[in-house]
Amino acid sequence: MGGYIGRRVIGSIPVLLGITALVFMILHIIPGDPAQIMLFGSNATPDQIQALRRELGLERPLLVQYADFLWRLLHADLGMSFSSQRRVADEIAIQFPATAALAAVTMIVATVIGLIAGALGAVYRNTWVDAAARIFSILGVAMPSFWLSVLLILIFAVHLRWLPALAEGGIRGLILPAVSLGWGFSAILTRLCRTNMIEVLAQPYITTARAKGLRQTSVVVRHALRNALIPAVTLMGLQIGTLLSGAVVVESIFGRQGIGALAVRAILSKDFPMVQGVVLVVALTYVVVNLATDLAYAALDPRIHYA
Amino acid sequence: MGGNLTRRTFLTGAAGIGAAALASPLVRAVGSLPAARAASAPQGRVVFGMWQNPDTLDPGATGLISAGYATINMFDPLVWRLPGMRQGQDYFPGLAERWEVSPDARRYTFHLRKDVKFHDGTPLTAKAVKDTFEHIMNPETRSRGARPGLASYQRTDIQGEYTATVVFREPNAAFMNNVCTQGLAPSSPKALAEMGHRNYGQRPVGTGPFMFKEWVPGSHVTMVANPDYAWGPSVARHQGPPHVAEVTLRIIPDAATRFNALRTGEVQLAENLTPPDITILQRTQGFIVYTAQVTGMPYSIWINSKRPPTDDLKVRQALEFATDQEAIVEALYSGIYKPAHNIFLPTTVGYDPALDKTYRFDANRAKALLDEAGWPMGPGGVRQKGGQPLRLRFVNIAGFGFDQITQLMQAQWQEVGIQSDIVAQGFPLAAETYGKGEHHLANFFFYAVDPFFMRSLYTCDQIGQGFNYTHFCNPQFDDLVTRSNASGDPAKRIPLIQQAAKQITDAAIVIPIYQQRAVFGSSNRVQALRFTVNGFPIFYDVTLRG
Repeated sequence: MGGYIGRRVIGSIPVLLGITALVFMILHIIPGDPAQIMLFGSNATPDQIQALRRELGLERPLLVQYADFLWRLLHADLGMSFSSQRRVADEIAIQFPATAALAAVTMIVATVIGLIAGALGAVYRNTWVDAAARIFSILGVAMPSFWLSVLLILIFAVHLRWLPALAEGGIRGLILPAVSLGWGFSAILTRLCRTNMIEVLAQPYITTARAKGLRQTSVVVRHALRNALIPAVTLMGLQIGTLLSGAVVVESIFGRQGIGALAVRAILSKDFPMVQGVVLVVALTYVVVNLATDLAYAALDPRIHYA
Repeated sequence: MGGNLTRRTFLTGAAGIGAAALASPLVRAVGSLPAARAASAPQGRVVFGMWQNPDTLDPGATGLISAGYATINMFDPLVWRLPGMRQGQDYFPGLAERWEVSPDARRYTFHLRKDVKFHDGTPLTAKAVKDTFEHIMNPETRSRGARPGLASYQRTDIQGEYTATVVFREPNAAFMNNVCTQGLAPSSPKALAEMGHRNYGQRPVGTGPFMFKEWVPGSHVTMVANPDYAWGPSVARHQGPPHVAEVTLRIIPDAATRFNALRTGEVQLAENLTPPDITILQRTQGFIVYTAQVTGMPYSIWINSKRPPTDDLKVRQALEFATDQEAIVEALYSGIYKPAHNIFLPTTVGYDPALDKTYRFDANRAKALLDEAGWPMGPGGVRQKGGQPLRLRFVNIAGFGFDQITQLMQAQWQEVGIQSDIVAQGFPLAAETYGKGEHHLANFFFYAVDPFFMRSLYTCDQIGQGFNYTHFCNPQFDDLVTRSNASGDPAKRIPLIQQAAKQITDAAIVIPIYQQRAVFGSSNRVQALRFTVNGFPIFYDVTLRG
């Protein structure tokens, strides 16, 4: 098991290196000179632009700049924001918890909807309950989150006045964003859960449990659902990447804090170090979560042993 | 739209009245009313939904309007420019009680009030003026908006504690208008020294009616009432501290959410709403739509005067006559903006309404001009010359707001036999395209308080690395513009400005489209909201009702 963990961790390194290379190259591939763009609007003279180029080290060979980039990364130095003159790493650290909170609550919402809809669909297979559950989850996929967000605000904030339109801190502000993101995610989980549950419910050990006289709920939850959860865990891990990109939209619409909103602001103000920093952090998160998912998968199912 | 009206008790006409009342800067002519003292302690909180996070709150450094919403309330200018407030007077004392301008517009002397304090308790002296300007000129500050107003700044001389003379190397008549903006408003020397040039913008210290409380990037900027404030402009509705205790600028990037937050009452004022949403507000009780004038130029299309076939004056003139601004504005911005026919907005010094008549929509005249220019109608309704079709390239800046306008122009021009393609490019790429002249038609818009902005847009040395996207170059024009900035005397400046404007108009390099205004949706609980001459809301006189 230790060897398995070790191999997975080492396997992540080339992925991370590749990401850093890509992120580094972005700044040099886009049109326009970074220094000129940074000074845009401040009537900089060509001398001042040159001075900034030297200060940013843009005159050095690309490979040297990349090596320097990696070195600073290892010291958690993501550079300085062009817009705010603050350290990128600090700004991201301040904004990250809000996105993490949103992601966590979204996952909960998605999981709850997905498991309930999936389980109901499996247990009441081919009845109207099954159809309703599937329609509900398909609706989640069909509606784009930016549209759903505005719709939810219109209904629950403007007309019903139950929840705020703007996401201030706290749980009330998290509900609408989490639902608008989570509903879509629940769909695939619903289908997966339903399929797995149907399979599991047909297993001999379920018949045994019923024969032992256990109640239906007990059978479904304690025996069937647990086993159906395993693929669900993998799925959730893979969804992190999509969820973080969905957070970009939802955070902007609800006026929330978070690295999604930070990324949008950075892109609009052409704050390259910040954009690079956010991309790197998101990529890193993705890799780490996937790693954790693989390990959890192996831990959850004793049958699984990766050579 | 019923749910949000419950508590409001007011006249049905309120929405209409509110919308009509606004082109006014600070306060309508109520000079005869005695200035009321703020009777009770400041109370209430106003929340304003704005779309963009400020880059910095240092008025001398920022390049963004959103920062301006904060700084106009936290800082006082040396002089207030309030046209239309009082007959025959445009400029009113601010932190300077009186001022003198040398005839050659190179030296400006300001005599400061002696009773003003910064929010950190330090008194306002001539040194503050000097330190502020030196801070703006310092390359470390990376000033975007304010620096150009200081142009050829040389130094500030301090003559006694409350008198400062600003000296320029070259005549700078435009400074009289630039000094009235919050960009050149004095900052506390103590705060500047403590925080340093780059970091001062995180905790700014001014003299204004509101003081900085906090800025959570991406979330909000909060300002609180300054209890010691006693030096507001004499034409304000009251003297003393503001009526409201707190103003929060809430950052909401999405237009639909800004609108919805206004409807739920989570914000009381919102900017940058879409035209359909504005129309809804105009018809909804409990809300007012303010359209405040701004200064500078209208939203315009620029024509490349160096690239064939638009290097031909007759072709450019034809484009002007083939464009129906009235139809465009009616289709896209009905009731919100007005069509523009001048390279200046009406609030600009030297604006000449006669120039509006130069190119009124006339499709037949456009056709005649193209015939004269040797472009007869060809097959498929497209004119051609020497086997080449008359085909032009619009390069739009993505997201800038010209997409629908150019589509309408494309259709209007098709009527007279001109074919055009439209591409959109992100700003850095578009700027490169424009600089190299690979376009026929460019987008442009620019806020500016003084007509000397022509220097940045139409002079020869601005081609390539500056904003001269029309590639227009006429040394005579350059000279005219320089001379228009050489004297502080309006009687000397205005004829020169008008001559320069006429040259640009006659060259047919600008197709004005609509007169930009600052449009805000507001709850009618917000009373006595005023705007500066360039469209920034001032909360000083505001009271919250209900």
